[in-house]
Amino acid sequence: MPGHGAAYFGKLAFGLVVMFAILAGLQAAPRRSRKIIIAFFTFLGGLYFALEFFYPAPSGENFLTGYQPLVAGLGAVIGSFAIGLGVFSLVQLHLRTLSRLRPGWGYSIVLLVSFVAMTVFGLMNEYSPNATVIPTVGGLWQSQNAHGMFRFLFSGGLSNLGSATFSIIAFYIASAAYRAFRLRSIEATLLMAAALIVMVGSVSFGTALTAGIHPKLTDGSENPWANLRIENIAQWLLMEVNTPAQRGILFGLTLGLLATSLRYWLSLERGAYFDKEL
Amino acid sequence: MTEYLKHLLDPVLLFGALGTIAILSLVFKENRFYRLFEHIFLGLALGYDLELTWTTVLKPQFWDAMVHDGQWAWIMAVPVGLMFYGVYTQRFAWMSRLVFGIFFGLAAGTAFQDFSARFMPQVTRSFAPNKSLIPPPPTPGDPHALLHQVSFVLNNFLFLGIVVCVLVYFLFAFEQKNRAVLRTAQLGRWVLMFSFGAIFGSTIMTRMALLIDRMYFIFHDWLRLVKG
Amino acid sequence: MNSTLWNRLQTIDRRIIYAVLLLFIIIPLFIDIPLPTYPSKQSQDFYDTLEKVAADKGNANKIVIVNGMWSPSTRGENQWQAEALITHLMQKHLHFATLTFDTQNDTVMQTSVVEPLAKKYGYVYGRDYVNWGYRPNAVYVITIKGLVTNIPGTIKKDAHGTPITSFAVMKNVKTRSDVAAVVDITPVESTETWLGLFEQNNSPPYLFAPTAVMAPTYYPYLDSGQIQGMLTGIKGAGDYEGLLHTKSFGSRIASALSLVYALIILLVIIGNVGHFATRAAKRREAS
Repeated sequence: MPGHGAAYFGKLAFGLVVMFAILAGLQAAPRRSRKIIIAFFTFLGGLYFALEFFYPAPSGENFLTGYQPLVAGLGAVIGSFAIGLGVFSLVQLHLRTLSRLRPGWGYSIVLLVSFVAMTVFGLMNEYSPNATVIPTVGGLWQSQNAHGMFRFLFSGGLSNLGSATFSIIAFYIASAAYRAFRLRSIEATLLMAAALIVMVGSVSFGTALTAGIHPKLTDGSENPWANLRIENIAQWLLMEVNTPAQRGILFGLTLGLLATSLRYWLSLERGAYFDKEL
Repeated sequence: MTEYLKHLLDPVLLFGALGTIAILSLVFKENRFYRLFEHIFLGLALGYDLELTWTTVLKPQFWDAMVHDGQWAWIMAVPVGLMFYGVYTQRFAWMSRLVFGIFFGLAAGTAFQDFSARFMPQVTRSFAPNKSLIPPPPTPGDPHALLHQVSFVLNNFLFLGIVVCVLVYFLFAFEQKNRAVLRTAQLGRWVLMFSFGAIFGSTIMTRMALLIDRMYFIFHDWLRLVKG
Repeated sequence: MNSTLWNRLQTIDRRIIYAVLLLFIIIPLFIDIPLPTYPSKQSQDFYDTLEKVAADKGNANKIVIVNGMWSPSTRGENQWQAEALITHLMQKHLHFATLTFDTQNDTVMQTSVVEPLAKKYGYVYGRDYVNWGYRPNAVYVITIKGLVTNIPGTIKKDAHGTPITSFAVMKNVKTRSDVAAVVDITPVESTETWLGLFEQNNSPPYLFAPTAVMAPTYYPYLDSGQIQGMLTGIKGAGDYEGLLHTKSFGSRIASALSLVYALIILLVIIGNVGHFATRAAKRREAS
């Protein structure tokens, strides 16, 4: 390692040994104590922020506040190691399809090639963007550098494909509006009325419908009839009907969130994931 | 080759246009063209996530700190990070739960502050002066003072009434016999439907905007048939 | 008319609906129909708040945090909100930092929005703005919390690995009190964390640019003053462009959006007319 001698390697090795020893110790603990160990560390994680909040901080900061960047940094690095989980699962799945020549193996090749290409050119784009990756071939095509390849893959491919994938839902929404929106009950009617008013009130063809009602009277004062302009009706509904309804939901949600957080923190949560044999 | 043809064949635009058409073709029929680009998309997304995690987090915050800045203790993050991978083995699967647990705990620990800073203003603002049922004194010279005062009271009455109805609907979600509670809950239900309708109307805007964006890309950016 | 015709009104082939939808989107792209638009109160508040932030001389050395949670999947709304926002920040010479917790946001935000506009307005990286880069979503909460008391310590390096303390724009930016405003451009629930862990008595101003679908849910925070301005999806972006006197996608597609809405309303009416007429016909037949 540049600038560091053997002693530095020693420190690194020491760090690794210590951590692996701790993990080995945890692994060696009796099976029945594993749930307690997990609960302990979960509690410890939560305790930091809970204490940091509750502990008096006359100057705005207490003895724990200063460690927040360290916690954020550690979290970012350790959390980043999890990226391999997704990569490993998907690559493994497609390598298996490929090795057994299962139907659709051609698509697996495409996926793996795209994956490798993006990883390689993405890294090159960061560290050596001007490196030539495709030489000029006669009059067919001009040479291409790593940045150009990355742009091709990201701006041409990834970005447009992502947008397209999520835009498909527009078709299904149109079809659903036609098929599912039936005035069968008061609830359905209210739902549709609100949807229509909000829609019409937010686009120009809607506002054009009531544009004849002027916001001001001839004497320059406010025109009370302007409240009946479609965008104002929509606005009123959102502010005076939707807002309190959403606040009611918010009350319920937040109390639920606090309760759930407490259950996670104190390892009281039950369910398939939490009750699994360890 | 004409300028226009050169533009149409620009690799970045062509890739994007073909990909967009392929993905959208799914709505008419599932086909190979779609499947091809779907797999390209997945591969690219995965590669990009990996590359970005290295270049923006692991390299500057972990690798460089450890290798160049002499912060050797960062090496200790490696075994902890490896604990995630315990999930692939039966023996070490519980270790991945341990590290996930720490993240759960960290997020849960912030719930108290969140409750006090984000949620409490919601409660207090529901009873703030501008939500009062007594109107403020009229503004001098306001020709519609009475109208403003009446609408102030009516709007606030409606606002508080709706909050109560919705809360009753949620709090008494189990079976009820009391008629007043039932009626109030029913009103709450209707108001909620109204609110969900507003969300549905807005959903249509989002979805259509995304599709219009794609069409704009095809007809403006790529085919240049539409003016900007 | 007989019941079969009414029935047919209820059973239009989905592919016909899809094709008509495409036509209703494409045609207005060619013909720009001038229709009146009015900025919503929330868009106006968004604009006014940033105007106020810019007018306050005490904010000259502060920074606006632009948190981008969006990716190309919602660019149809979020990219244009971002473009209008960055235009406004640059027009007003406000310093800003971009930050993201979505993997794809960083590249699309920098290459499609920030860099082209920086060229146009003469904004220099490091002097006028900085890119704090991407952080994994798992540390969203703890990163936002860290920013309150120690910004350089929490961010450490920019998107390309340069220590952020080396940038002129970051010289006076240490804690929350050095932040002039927070703008969150997002298709996911990210507001709660800013309001719960970063904001203190509604300071610094928090501005919100969600996708339209999310907007109705956040009205309680507008009412309480915790959110001080909101751009509702592409309508909000169009409003903002109008207020800035720039014309981009948001204003350009207003007529397409209008026509599509008219189509949706028409479809709902057709479906219901078919439904009720069929029901009435069935009742007649039964009696």
